[in-house]
Amino acid sequence: MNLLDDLLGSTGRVEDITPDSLRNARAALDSTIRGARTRHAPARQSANLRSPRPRRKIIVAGTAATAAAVAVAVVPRLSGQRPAPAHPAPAHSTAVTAAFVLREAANATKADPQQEGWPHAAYWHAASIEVRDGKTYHRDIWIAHNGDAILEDSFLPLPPGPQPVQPAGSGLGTLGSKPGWLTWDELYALPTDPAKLGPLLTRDSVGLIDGSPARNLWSTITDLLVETPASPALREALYEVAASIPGIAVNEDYIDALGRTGTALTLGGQTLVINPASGQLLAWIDVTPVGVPGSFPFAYTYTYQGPTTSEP
Amino acid sequence: MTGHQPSDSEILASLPDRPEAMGVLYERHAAAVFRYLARRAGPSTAEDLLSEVFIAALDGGTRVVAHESGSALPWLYGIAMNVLRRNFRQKSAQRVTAQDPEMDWDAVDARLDAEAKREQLRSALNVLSHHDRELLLLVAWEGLTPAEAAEVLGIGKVAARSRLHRARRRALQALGCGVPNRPAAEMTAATGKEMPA
Repeated sequence: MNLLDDLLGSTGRVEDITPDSLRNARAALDSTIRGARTRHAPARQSANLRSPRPRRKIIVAGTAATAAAVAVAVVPRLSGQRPAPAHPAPAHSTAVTAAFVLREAANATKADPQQEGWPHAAYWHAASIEVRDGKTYHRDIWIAHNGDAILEDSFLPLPPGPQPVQPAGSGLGTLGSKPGWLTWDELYALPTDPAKLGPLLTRDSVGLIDGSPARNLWSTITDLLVETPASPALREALYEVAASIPGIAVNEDYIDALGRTGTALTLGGQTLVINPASGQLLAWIDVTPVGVPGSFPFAYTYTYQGPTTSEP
Repeated sequence: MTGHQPSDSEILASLPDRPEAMGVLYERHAAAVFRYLARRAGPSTAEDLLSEVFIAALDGGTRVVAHESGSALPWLYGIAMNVLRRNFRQKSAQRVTAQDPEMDWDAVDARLDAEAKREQLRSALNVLSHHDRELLLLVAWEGLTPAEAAEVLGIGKVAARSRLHRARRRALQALGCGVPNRPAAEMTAATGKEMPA
């Protein structure tokens, strides 16, 4: 149990309704029902209230996507315990468009050599660092095929050592790492044809509140690229779909916390830093919700992201 | 002899023609809807609003399809959420100070015994948008699956799961740093823009 779940658990406990209150509310409802039956029409006009939107269902069931997956974007694991501090370069105007960068990354992802063991590796492993106030925090997560995950994060208020996350689908992960997160199979089942994936993700993101359909879609795509065992084919498709999003700002000279130069792509509160030549994800910066008091950015620099057979 | 026990799906399908079927949904789900309201607005307001939720549910007049889990609860929570928003808007209009449009923090605070915990909870939840916060609470407080919470909020399954992941991670990080505001150097570096105040 971590601090967040402790707080949510404490505040989630409320007294049950009393029998009297239950009866009183039922009586009020019954009165309205009688009126509705009499008029054979909606019982009460309350235009300010709206029902939830019709359910939008994403199709993730079915067979896994092509098992003969192509390469996975793997960043070599860095052994240095004291990564260099970030040397950020100021953003500047550039003639290079986000669409160009993202298509280049998609092509590079497609061209990567096939990763041995993929997609039958035991875990997807993502390792990252976060530099804050001069301190470097390490984060490692191992995600099994069924969505279970093990997390080790030196920044979080957790006991030392790897912490198990409850099984996927429970919706109550103890660490908030991947509660209910899509399993490998569910990710594989997503279409890898950009012409099919784009409309699906657009539809799926409609209800998000990121300011515009473009921001909603970009937000969903970044989520699917960061720390997920998305196959190389899916990553390629995600880059292709992202290339169709208008308004993404480009900074070609971003230097991450490890001193690597990458291209920062920003829309709304979400920034991805990638190496277009390899398709590798270098960093992810999240500042949502923009404009909410207390907002602050999270910046993760990825030292490794890929399949592994080694135990956490 | 035991009569037929219609499923939530069957009841939802019959509501436009048989409004009395709402009584069956009430018997099944009123307690859960009450807890939803009480967690966000306190027990007194929850008692006041409980019947309003089910009455509003009758209002639609259109056929509703239950979530694939078969439960009408996600639909009812969505209606309860809107009833609460309207109630908070009305209360806010009567007050001088601004109020959270979806949460009575006094009611939440009353369930935490220590002042320090109250501050921690606010630090964790205040870094989330109202939308993401509701997603987190639907799963943590109401015990919905991410897919059911998606139904309440009108978003897709993938989006809900990714948002939930991000919301929990963000809330945990806020607890980890202990202070709600931190430098925005990384974002400024990436975009060349200052962080919003």
